[in-house]
Amino acid sequence: MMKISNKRCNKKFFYKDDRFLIKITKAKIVPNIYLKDFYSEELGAYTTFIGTIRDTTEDNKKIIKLYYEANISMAISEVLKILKKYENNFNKAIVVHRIGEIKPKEIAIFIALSNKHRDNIFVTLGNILEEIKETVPIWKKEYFEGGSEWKGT
Amino acid sequence: MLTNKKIKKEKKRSKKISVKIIFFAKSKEITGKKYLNLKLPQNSKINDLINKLKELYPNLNDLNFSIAINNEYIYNYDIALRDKDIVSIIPPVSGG
Repeated sequence: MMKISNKRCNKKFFYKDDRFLIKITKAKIVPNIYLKDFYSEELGAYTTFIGTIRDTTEDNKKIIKLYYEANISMAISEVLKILKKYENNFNKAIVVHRIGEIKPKEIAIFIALSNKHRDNIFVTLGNILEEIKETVPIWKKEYFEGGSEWKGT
Repeated sequence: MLTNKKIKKEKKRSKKISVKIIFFAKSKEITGKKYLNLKLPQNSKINDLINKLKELYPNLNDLNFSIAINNEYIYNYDIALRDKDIVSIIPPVSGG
């Protein structure tokens, strides 16, 4: 059975093993901090995705902030399932998702994959992101001028 | 008159399980609660719990939600809950 750390360490919740780092955090996401330890002498290909908050809603209202909430331990185990599903397509993976209040331009999600060669990693990263959006129990509420709304269909 | 055996049987029948329900996102707003501890008759199914919740909080009828038991998604609501199960109410997700 996988072990998920529920230790509250600077309001971070994480899973870490030799290949995967998964973190749900209230702190601002700084990709370089994660990438610094991600590079390896045996691997030659890295790809990342950075998802930030836009300043307008789909129907053009000005966004003040977003509020993200998660079922944290379940979110971590669901991300782990997704990474394991695609694990033959990459070597190492990082998935960091922010929760709490986030303002436009700030990072909500950061994903990085590494591999010996570039082969499948672009497509794989896209698939991982789509599955995270579909199944991982994280929710966002948009606060825009004149109101607020939970997203999700 | 009830025999001892019958009393025991009666006790067993009325034995209850307790489950903890955790509400997230919109379901938390609808119920006004983060958690709810419920005692249910033994052999209650997930469907029974959902009906009970919709009875307690009629506005849940307007929310399309999934269920996780002990942090695993459940797709068959015809299975019995067990004592001390933790039930998460999962509205449509919107991470990323």
